[in-house]
Amino acid sequence: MLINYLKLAYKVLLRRKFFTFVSLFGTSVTLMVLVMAAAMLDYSLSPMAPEVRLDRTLLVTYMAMRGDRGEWSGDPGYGFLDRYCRNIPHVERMSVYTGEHATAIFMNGEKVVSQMRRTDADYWSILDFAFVAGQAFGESEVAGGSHVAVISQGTAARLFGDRAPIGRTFETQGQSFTVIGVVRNVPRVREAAYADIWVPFTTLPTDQWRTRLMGDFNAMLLADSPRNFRAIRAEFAARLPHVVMTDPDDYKTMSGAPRTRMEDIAAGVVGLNGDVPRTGMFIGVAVLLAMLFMLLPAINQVNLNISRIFERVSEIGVRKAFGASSGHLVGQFIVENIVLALFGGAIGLVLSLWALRVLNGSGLITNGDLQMNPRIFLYGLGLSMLFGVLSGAYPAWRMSRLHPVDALRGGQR
Amino acid sequence: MIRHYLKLVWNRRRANGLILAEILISFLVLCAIFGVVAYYATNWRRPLGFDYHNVWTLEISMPQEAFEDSAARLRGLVVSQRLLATMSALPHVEAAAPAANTPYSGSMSRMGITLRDGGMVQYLWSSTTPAGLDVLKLELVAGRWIQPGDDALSYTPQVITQDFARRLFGRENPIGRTIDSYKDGQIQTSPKSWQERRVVGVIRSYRKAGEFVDMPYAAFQPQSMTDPERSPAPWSYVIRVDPGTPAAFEETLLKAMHAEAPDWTFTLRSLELERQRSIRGRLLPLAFGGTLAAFLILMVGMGLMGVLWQSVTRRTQELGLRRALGATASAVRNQVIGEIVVLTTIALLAGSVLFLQLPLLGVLSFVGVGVFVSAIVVSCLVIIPFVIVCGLYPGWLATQVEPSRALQYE
Repeated sequence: MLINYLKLAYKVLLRRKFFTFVSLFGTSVTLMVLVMAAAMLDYSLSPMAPEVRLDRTLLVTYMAMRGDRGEWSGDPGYGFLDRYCRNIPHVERMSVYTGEHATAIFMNGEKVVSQMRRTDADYWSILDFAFVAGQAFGESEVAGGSHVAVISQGTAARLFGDRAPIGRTFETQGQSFTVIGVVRNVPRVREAAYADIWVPFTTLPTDQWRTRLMGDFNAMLLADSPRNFRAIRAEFAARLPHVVMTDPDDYKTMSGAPRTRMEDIAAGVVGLNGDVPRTGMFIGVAVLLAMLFMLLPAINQVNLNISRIFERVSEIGVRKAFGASSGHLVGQFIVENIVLALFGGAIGLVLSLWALRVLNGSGLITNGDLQMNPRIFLYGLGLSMLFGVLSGAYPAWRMSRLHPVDALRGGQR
Repeated sequence: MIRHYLKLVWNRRRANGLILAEILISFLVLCAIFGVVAYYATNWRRPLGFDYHNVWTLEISMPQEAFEDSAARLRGLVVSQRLLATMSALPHVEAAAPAANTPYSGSMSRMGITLRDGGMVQYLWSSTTPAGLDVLKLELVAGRWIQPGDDALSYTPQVITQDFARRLFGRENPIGRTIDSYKDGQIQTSPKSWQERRVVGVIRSYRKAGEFVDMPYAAFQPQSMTDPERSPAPWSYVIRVDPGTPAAFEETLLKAMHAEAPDWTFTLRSLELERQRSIRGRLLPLAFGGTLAAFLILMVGMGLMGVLWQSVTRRTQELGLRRALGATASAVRNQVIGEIVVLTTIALLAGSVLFLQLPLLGVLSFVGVGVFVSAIVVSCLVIIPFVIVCGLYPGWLATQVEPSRALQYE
């Protein structure tokens, strides 16, 4: 039966080439846009090098201090992370690092602007950087405040050209660093890992940052399993009331919670409800936008489908007269539509492969290397099917209600 | 004639309902895109108020300790004085001044006040020194600019933008007036008497967020380089250099700054490049949205053409009968096109009513009604010819109907 439907679908699609072209055009470009959006989301949320353990990582990127004088919210400080966030049960390893900041290096009269991040030694064991040469700095370099640096391949090329970068020095922000490692470029979307230059955080000038509750530091907490996120958050929350405020006249309480990457992105896009990211709203808005975007192509497709059906009114009449049930006809029509949507989906996937290459080459996402993967392929397939059913259901229902006598006569107006 | 078309459209309302929805949504999509374009275009024509050529901005991040207590703040100011003196004395530097809220930067210090009429106004405020006028080439239209000694007066002099002056004082002369915030009809007094804001001058405008953004309300006030009570150490400077300053200038400047303040961090940016970046950042999403909209409209157009084509072949009898009764080919074509234009007009009217709810409900109140209206007009001017073009081929097909074939059916 299904084979027959498929054959029929194929024949019908060939009969009206203009209609088929319009359908395929609409479906494939719509899906291309949606698959691109899905690829971007997947790319930002999935564990990918160097953030290979993202699925069991919690990030402390936001804290808020409140008091009579007002509120101070933003990145936590080293003092808070070091004193209150260490040794939480179920946390295997923890890393503390600063945000990345633009810094200018002048090399032979040329200005090279790079993003610099200061990190501890555990940073290199939680994240999996692909080292091209040399190695990361370890506990002893961090403890000693050594002026050593790991730089990205791109930065190495811009600073030193073809010469081997290991052992060479560069100067920035009035400090001089020796290169001990070179890693592959890190995409901008890998929030915790992204930078061009990484140096030990102990090279920060002055010393006051050590005791700060708020400041410019973030932390990654590597859990033994995502199942224990709840326990880690509970322990974190239980410790907050014990934080000794450094200036109790201004601020009395400290609040905030470790976040997953998803929550972090949601907070950035749709904001916070108190101190809690509006993750549900973020997902809702994303689904709503996708639906809205599909609405117009879907209506267009429904219109075309209705037209197509009325062209075949006499065929339907004959089938009805010979005893085909409404269910059969609806099934046939939906299969036809799904075939069409899958064709469109296949073209759409090819188009998105091309669009991803254009996007990666355009430099819009720094060091972006978006890839098509099975997960995204499945998203695309699912969306195609959804689209096919969505745009096929209403015309099929209209068709099934046609009276055989009317249908044989060529349909009512 | 039109009533007749309306009747025809109504008779096929179920099929037409979906086409109507399709045109309506396309229209709203176009309105959104052209709305943004119209908003940008309106703002682009307004005076920017400053000159971005040959200007650099120096941004400083200081450790928090610099703001801890008044002794630390004083030390910060002393360092700042040295920085300002050093940068002003460098070769190629024409003038340099501290300025918060530098053009095209993300920083946005705003002050909110409640006016006597209960309206709330947010304005951008920026502390600078007398040199600020020459660095940014602001255009003074009334009163005077900040002078040496202004930072020690018994009040805080303010140089405000024309739009701000008009909002505060209407057509009255703003010079010498104070900027007050009201609470329950009473002027809120400041804790320190020198915090009273008195207007001493008016500038054309200062739209720091750039050409595309409407930012009418801004004020400049003096930056004190000696009194930590009045101003903390400035965290950004603007520097005007000679045209044709060599690239090595950057390195020289940064080295000199580091030598004066080793534990402060400096970022130097060219205003011209920042402007390009800012414009690109606004146009890119627009281009992206525009491409999507173009694709949607193209798809709808092709779909419409298919549907019309189909309906013409289905209505052979009706059209053939008309031909047999003496209707000319052009009358039949006009009927096909007329029907779709009538349908489109209904969709556009409904869409306009929907779209105009935005300004009526006060959503996006910073956008003028003119922007909404021009978005609607431009969208109509795009959609109506587009729909007619889509109807041309089906219309021509309708004229090819043979009356004899049509009459066979009956």
